[in-house]
This record gives sequence, C-alpha cells and structure tokens, in this order.
Amino acid sequence: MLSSIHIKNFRAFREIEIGPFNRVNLIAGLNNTGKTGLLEAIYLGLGLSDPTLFSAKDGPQNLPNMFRIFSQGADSNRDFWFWLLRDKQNREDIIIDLSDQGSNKSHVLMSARGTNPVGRDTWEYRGSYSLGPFQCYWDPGKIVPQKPTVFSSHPSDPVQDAIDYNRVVLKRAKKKVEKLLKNVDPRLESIESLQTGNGAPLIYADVGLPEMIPVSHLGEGFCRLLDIYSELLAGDAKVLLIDEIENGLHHSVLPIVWKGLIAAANELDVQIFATTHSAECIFAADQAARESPPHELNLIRLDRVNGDIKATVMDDKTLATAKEFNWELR
Amino acid sequence: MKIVVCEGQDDQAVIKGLCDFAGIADIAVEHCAGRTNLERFLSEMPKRPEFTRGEVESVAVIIDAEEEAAGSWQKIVNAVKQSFQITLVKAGDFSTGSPKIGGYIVGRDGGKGMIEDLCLEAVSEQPGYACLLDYFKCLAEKTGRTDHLAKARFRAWMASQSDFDLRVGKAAEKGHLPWGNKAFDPLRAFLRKL
Repeated sequence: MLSSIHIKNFRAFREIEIGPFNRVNLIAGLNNTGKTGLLEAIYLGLGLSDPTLFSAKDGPQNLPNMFRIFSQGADSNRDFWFWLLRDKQNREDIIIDLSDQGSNKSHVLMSARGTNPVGRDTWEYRGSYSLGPFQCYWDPGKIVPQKPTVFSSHPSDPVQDAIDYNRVVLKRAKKKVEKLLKNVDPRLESIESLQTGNGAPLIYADVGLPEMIPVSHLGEGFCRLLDIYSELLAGDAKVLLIDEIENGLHHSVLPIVWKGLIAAANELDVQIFATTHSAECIFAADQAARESPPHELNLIRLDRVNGDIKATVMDDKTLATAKEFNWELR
Repeated sequence: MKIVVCEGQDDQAVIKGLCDFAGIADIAVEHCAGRTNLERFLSEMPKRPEFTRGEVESVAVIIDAEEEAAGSWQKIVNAVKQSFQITLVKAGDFSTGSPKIGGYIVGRDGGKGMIEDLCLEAVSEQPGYACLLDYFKCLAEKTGRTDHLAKARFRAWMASQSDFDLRVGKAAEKGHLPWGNKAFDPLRAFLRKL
C-alpha cells in the first residue's frame, strides 16, 4: 500500500508531503484546495512509473478528460497540460514521489522547460516519454506497479460500462455485486449486460417490474456504485481514485455503501482515495471502518494557507473526537 | 476567531452570558463534556481546519478549581503543553504567539470551588441569601450532609426565586444572574484579554 506522497510545483501544491495514508483515504477541503489535484498527482505518480499504462485507454495521455471535463476543441497544451504547473510557470519541474509501507520510493519528474532537466543526483531515471508539453522521467524504484482506476464525478459511458460488466460475470463476481447493490435498492433481483435493439450492449436491472430496466434509470449514484463495486470485485486495480464519492447517493445509504467498500477493499487488498464534501460521508466511512477492525481509514483535510496548500491527516482518534463534538471537517 | 474551552454545558452558558453582557464578541464557547475529556479535546483541537488556516487568534481554557486550585491548574498546564507545546506560567495570563493560549481556574477567592460558587458569590448580597446559608447550616447540623454544597446551594437559591430554573446553565440562559456583579470581574477581565 502507498504510505505517502511528495508533490512539488504541481497544480495548487508548491511543495508538500502528505501522509501517512491508510487503506481508505478520504480527502476533504473547501473548493479549490487541491482535492482532485491530489488524485491526479497519485494517478501520475503511479501511471508514469508504469509505462505499460501508456498504451491503455485509461493511460496518462487521457488525463485531461479523466477527472475534469475538457473541451475537445480547446488547445490541450495551453488549456490543460500547462496548468499542471503551479501558476502555469515552467521554470521549475513537477516532481511526484510516492512511498509505500515498505519504505520504497518511486519518482516522477515532468519538465516543460525544453532542456534536459535530469541532472538530479538523487535518483537515476529508468525511462522517459512525452506527455503534452512535458518530457516525463520515471523511476518506479521498488514500488510494485499498482494500476490506478479512476472514477470521476462525471457520468461514465453506459456502453463501455456494459462491456466492462461482462468481466464481472466472467470472474464470477456477479452475485457479490448484486448483493452489495441490493443494500442500496432492496428491490434489486439481478443485473445483466444485454445486447438489444441496435446491438449496443447496456446494463439492465431486474427490480421486480414487468421488464428489466436500464440501470441508468436507477440514478447516477446507483450506476457509479455499480462501476466501483465491479472494479473492486472483478478488476485488477490496486488503487481506486474516486472523485466526489457521495455524488448521487442518499445519505441514508452511505453507511451500508461504505461497509461494502471497506469489506471488499480489505479482502482484495485495494487502497481507496476518495474526495468528499459530505460530513455524512466522512462519518459513515469512519463508522464502517470501526465495525471492521482494525480501523484503516484516514481523513486528509486540505486547506489553503497564505496561497499555499497544507494537509492535515486525521486518524480514528481525531475522527471520534470530531464526531463527538460536532467539529466541522468537510 | 477566539475560542473558550470549558468543562460542561452549565459553564458554557455562564461564560456566554458573561461575554454577551460585557459586549465581548467573536468568541466561540465550547465544552468538552466534562474535565476528564479536557486532555483529549485539546490534543485533537489543533488538527481542526480553522487552526490549520491560522484563523484562531486565541484559546482560553477555563475549568473549576474543585477541591484544589493548584491541581486543576496543573491539569490545564499539562493538557496545553501536550496539545500546543506551550508552557503556561500563570493562571489568568496568556502566552505569546499564535494562537495565544491562556488558562483560568474558577473558584472562590482563588481556592476551592466551581462555577456555582462564583454565581452564588454574585448573588450573596441579595435579600434572602442569608436564609439560604442558615438553611444549609441547619441541614448540616441535623443530617450531617455537607457534600455537593455549591450545586445544592445554587439550586436552593434558584428555588427561592419567583421564576426559577434550577441548573446554573438554565439560570444563566434566562438572565437570572447579575452579570454586572463584581464577583464576575476577574473572569470578565480574563475573557477581555482573549
């Protein structure tokens, strides 16, 4: 599992060390304090250290559309990639170092200076490649590649979801996914990926109606949860990066959702990083973590201080006190 | 932002009433649900976002003297040291730096006592107070009861009033305490330093 990250000159972060991480890491803070930026940094730290990811459909080259909605007609260098640099200044390179619990480190350096920046004597890079205006240098160190999977806050492609769901069936995880989702909608009998009409597959749910219903009709939150559970139980990701995890979910189902997520993450050795704006989400996750000891959940609170970002990591003790005294942590 | 940390809801109501009367604004009065929680409350407090953002100007910790003012003061000193790495020197004073931290012990004449003692002192010149003392003197002689005197006396005092709520916190919220009385001066002066 990842234990910490060191970020320099990336988005809102001048230079920051964030950790210790835990099995589940909730990221909270006001708007524009770097919550999604932290997910992007973790993605790049892992993704750029694993060159095999570059050929994947969800590889680093797709970052502009991964967490944010990027206009296809826009200039990607000017309107996306250069903004990865703090204040859009390319005088300094972006550095993203990850550490794991075995004290291993991986290094990523992204330079848009146009000259060879790797005069660093602290590490030897293993390879380099281009990404937008950046030349990226990487050294995975001894960190075992942990493919990250991203769940952004915008809706996913239903056809792709249906294709992906076949993997759930193939890996015999269908019953587990259905059982977890039944906690959210007790009417649910089964979920199937079906090819109907013009041939495009879609996911349908049996909720006791005369006909099975496309899952998109069950709401954004339900579909997102289906995606997340499917990836957890049938995917090969070891790190899940989820933006605004509570989107579309009623607060009353959050405890049971977290119970399912935490149980699956523990069982399959998956690490979760998720941003949230919801106190109910934070305390539902905390409660679920307490019910599955050991408590493996931290809250990472990001705050803007004098134009810089500071991180405060809160463990089970702080979360218990915050809940007891109704402290504001969102 | 200025924060007062006290023991319980009654203390919270009295301190809020005192601040309102004195026109001391921008103070958040919080309680830690009993003095046994003080250390835990303070130790987690610096992780709150308002501390990270540097918005907290000062923190005042106010607890009862109870049986021994020195022991209670040491409790504050230890908790503040552990949580903020600041050594408080004297009750009623604030440290320098940001946030500045101060501690105060509530009691009678700086010795034993609690918030009810302070409030009783404030009403001690009112008609009927001597009757209250006589009643408890008689009670002690006849039954030997001498425990929880401050709370019992305060409730008995409130029972003697025309519009009464027995707990000190409720009395404070309803404005039954003479906020301008000199008994409150030292605590008021401490709160003004926040």
